[in-house]
Amino acid sequence: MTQFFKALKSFKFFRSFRIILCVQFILSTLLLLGFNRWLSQNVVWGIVSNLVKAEIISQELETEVVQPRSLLNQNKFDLSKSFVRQVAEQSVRCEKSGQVKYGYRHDPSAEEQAFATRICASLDQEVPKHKGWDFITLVPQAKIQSSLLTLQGQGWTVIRIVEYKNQTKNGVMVAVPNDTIEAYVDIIWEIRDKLLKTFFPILLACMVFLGWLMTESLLSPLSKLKDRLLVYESKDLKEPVEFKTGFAEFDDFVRVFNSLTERLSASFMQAGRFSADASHELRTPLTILRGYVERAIPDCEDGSVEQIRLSQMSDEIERLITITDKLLLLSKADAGSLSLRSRRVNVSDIISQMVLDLKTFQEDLAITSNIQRSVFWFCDPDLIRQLLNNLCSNAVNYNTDQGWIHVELHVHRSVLTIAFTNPSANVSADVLDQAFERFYRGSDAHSRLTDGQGLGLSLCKEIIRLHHGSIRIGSNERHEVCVSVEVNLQLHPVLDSEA
Amino acid sequence: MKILLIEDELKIADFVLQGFSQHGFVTEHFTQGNIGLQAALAGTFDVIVLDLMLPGMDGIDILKRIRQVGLTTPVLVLTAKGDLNDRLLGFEAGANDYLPKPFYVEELIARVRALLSRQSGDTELTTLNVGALSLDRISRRVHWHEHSMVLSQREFTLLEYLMRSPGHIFTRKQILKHVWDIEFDPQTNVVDVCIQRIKKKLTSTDTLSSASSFPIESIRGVGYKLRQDDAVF
Repeated sequence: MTQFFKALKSFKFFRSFRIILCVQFILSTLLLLGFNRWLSQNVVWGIVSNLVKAEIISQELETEVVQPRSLLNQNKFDLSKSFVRQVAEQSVRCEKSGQVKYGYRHDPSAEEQAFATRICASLDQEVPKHKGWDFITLVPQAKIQSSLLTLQGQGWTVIRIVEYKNQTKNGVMVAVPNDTIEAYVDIIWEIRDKLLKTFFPILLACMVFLGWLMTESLLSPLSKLKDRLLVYESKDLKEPVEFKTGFAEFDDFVRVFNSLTERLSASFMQAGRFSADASHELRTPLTILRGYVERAIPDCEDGSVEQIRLSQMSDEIERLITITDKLLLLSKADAGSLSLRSRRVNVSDIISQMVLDLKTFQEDLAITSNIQRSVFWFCDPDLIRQLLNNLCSNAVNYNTDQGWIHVELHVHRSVLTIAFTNPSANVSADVLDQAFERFYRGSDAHSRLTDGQGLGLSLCKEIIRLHHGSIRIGSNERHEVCVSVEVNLQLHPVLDSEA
Repeated sequence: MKILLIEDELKIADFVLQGFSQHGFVTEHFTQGNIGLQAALAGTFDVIVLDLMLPGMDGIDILKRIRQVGLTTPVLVLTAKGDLNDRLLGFEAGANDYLPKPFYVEELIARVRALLSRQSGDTELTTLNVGALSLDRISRRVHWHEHSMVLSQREFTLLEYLMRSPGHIFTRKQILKHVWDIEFDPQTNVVDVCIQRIKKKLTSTDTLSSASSFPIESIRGVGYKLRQDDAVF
């Protein structure tokens, strides 16, 4: 059972707020309808039967007791008149003295006449004059009372008029079999239910339409807000969302959202400023350190052990500087203050040069490439060079002995793809998952020295994010790792491939 | 040649001062921004080397004040901030050159010299001269004694790098990073190959100057430097 509900929940249809709202609206309307029916059957029933009683006595008196304001308004509900007449026809009218005026229809048989006479005779004894009478308070200009009694195994409702427009009309009583009144009221319900059933499809359609209308009006500011937020998603958080939905609740929502983004951007800025400050602060001691080392190198005897050691130290200082630079770049990207200085760049040339360099630098790696010619990209050349360098370094550093690197560049349907593929010893899913994390190093056996290692791929990710592209890392069963960058060239203003 | 150095970091100032005195500059040094400004306005300096983040008064404000009073002394700005915006801000305030930290003292000295020569107008900005070696930054043509050759992009970048800081010993890794911009260990001696190529281009048909007098010098186990002894400064 729970599994069934889980399946229901996972079904997308049921996760639509709109559908749920609509269903809720329909269900609540049905519930109201049901409640209304229950209420009328239980409470209004008494009122209706009283009205029927009043109508009957008015007919017997041949006077208009019940005014058109009643439920049985004759103009509107002509049918009821005949019902009341039917009920009246089964009633027995008794005069003051216990004489039968008439009973059971207007032309009763002798047997019925006798029966009616018996009822009239026994009425005075069976119903005490001042006890057991209920006032029917519905009719203002007449005082009508009713009582129940059982005569000869049949339930009767006795109705009498006590006073009519301040004239005492004591003594006229009408006895009606109970079930005729009940039957009459029941008929009304039956008609009502039948009507409801006939109109139910229309009603349901109306409810669905109204539900849709309601959810639409409810959700339209929300979806407008979403569209608005989408615009801001790509921008920095510093700018507040300026949006008036026209509804107090949604304006509150926007305000709350704005204060939230304000706080968020403040903390982003703080974090960004911290690492920016840290890398700035690191520059001074690094300058000093490098200054001393660089000064000490020429002071040593050329080619001496001290000089070689100092030069190695100097290389390590360079590495620290590179890491600081990368950290600064990352923190700027985080703070959103990294501005692109984009221009039209021939990526094919850059990558071809890089492949040439790779071939000269890495003799024991087989370098292959498939580079589409004259691919132009509107991008920041410095950052893209850094991106490509990082990808290149990665492919070299996480390669196998006597391995290979394949570099791919092509544009297909205005999507530019750059991919570096290489075999690697360690390509577990875990490693790939964490590849974009800062300072993460794959536990590859090849620990060839690199500068700023562990920041490369996360920096690539930031650079590509700024260029509205995506970067992915994947592997296959042959232990080949492929890092690929995809950018939609149409997202940029000036772009074409002139191949 | 008199230089004013306004730099609050004593250790940086220390090796900068040493470098300057080794190259025959007289340097006055101040750590406080406001005092430095007074010195700049009072004294007659040939070049002012100015740090941007200073106690007492901000470097940019000092620069603006110097330019406000009409002082045209060339100003070289030193700063830890290497941003384009910061650089532009510096130039707008009236800086003549900009050197981001960390920097090599040799490069600072070379730039100060360039500023001085620019001031006196005796050298074209596009040519870089170290001793008999002269490099045209635009045509990538190098002159050495009576020889002249056009260098490839890589060769040019390498030679310019060495020539910008004559006397400074660069490790192979530094050269690799600057010229090829790679961050992994190459398995080939590409730097040595490139330097040999430059050397060969300029000395192959040579009769007067032997290959040994070529100013690029290899330091075993360390790297390369451009010999400075025949510099004409």
